[in-house]
Amino acid sequence: MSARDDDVALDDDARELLAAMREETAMPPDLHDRVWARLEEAVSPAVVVPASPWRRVAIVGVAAAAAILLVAGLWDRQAATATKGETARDQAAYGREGALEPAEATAGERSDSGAPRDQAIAPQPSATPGATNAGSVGGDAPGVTNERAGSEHAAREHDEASTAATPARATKPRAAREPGGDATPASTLAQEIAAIEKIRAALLADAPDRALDHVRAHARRFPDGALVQEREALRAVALCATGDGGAKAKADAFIAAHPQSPLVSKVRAACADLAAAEDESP
Amino acid sequence: VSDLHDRARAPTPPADDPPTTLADLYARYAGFVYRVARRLGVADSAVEDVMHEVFLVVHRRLPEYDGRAAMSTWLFHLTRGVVSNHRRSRAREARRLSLVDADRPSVPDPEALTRRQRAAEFVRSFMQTLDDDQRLVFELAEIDGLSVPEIAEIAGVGLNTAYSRLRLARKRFQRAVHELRAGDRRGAR
Repeated sequence: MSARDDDVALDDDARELLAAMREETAMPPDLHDRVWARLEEAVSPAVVVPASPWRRVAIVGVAAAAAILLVAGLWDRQAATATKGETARDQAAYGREGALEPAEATAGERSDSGAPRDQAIAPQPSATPGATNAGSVGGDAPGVTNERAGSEHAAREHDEASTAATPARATKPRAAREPGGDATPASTLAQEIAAIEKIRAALLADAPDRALDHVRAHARRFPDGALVQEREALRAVALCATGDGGAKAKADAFIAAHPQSPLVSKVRAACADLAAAEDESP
Repeated sequence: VSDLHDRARAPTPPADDPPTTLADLYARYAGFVYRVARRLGVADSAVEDVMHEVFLVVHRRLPEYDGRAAMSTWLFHLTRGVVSNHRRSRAREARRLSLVDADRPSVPDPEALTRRQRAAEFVRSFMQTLDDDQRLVFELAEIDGLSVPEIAEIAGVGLNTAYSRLRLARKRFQRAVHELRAGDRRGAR
């Protein structure tokens, strides 16, 4: 039993009414299935929710170590290949492939931390090629590159290899991130949400000055963002929390500018508390 | 009946272990996102697109979710952002078109539905008597089944404030139910 259940217990009638409300407002099963079907078409559902920060750190560490080992291995192979008199183009190709890995380690961290190899599974996995092949990188890549070593088309085919064969590392994370390239409006929105969250967190931590810093940062970064209204409401709340002289005016301005906003009551409440505190003070 | 009773006690109990895949996350939170979207005013005809967009954004941003905030909090704010964008485009669209919101089809048992609708209408009317702050807390707790710490995060208030608001709202709801019952008894005589 949670603490809230200790406070005011609802009787059976009340619970039944609430159950009816939940039934009435529940998501229709056909809609549930339709949305999921569309999602399956649009993305690979095998993407895994990242674990706790500590686990992420561990995964990043492992990914970094793997990247270093891979680079070292490729370097060795490169040297060995060079001594065997491979073509200069092959060397360039190996160098390029090796140089990619550390950078991809970051991508690997994002996706691999999200998709640990042993649990990259989803109830309805759509096309997620390579999802379980990540562990074979070290084994596949050399074979592929050796095959191409004597080829007349080494450079071009190496490019293909780095997207088709090595790829368990090089392409899968990229594929997982593709829909969310940083330039998309959705990703900008999520960044904006994160920025708003910082303001909220600072207010929750009773640090209105810090909240105002975050408000200013948000204003600089998202001058015409989707959450400007929210930001301005939080600015008013933070100003009221600091007891700033212009707080009331700012709150009034917000209320006047957004009279229909659901945030009005919040702003009003925050500044009413301040006014009440001022009244009570001697 | 027992299933209904279970749901009455535990609407959507948040599991202790975090969701591991998008499918898992969708299975657990689709209903929550749906309710939040509807509560924010998204029409029947648009809710599918909004939900699709929400979970696409979830998919894209999952790597950035670090677990410091509750998943429900993250989803709530994200849904609100998507709904906000949707409203803007909807407003533009509405200038050109007159949109009709189709009612949900699916009526298996007219008698049960009527009873359920009446009950839901009672709860809905009750919630309209609450102020915004209490309503948010009450909805998230009693309809969505979130824990008070999660609600406090979403509402941007301290834990004590959230508990206090919920306690007051529940008291008022219980009182309203008593009055409803008393009215039924009077009507039966």
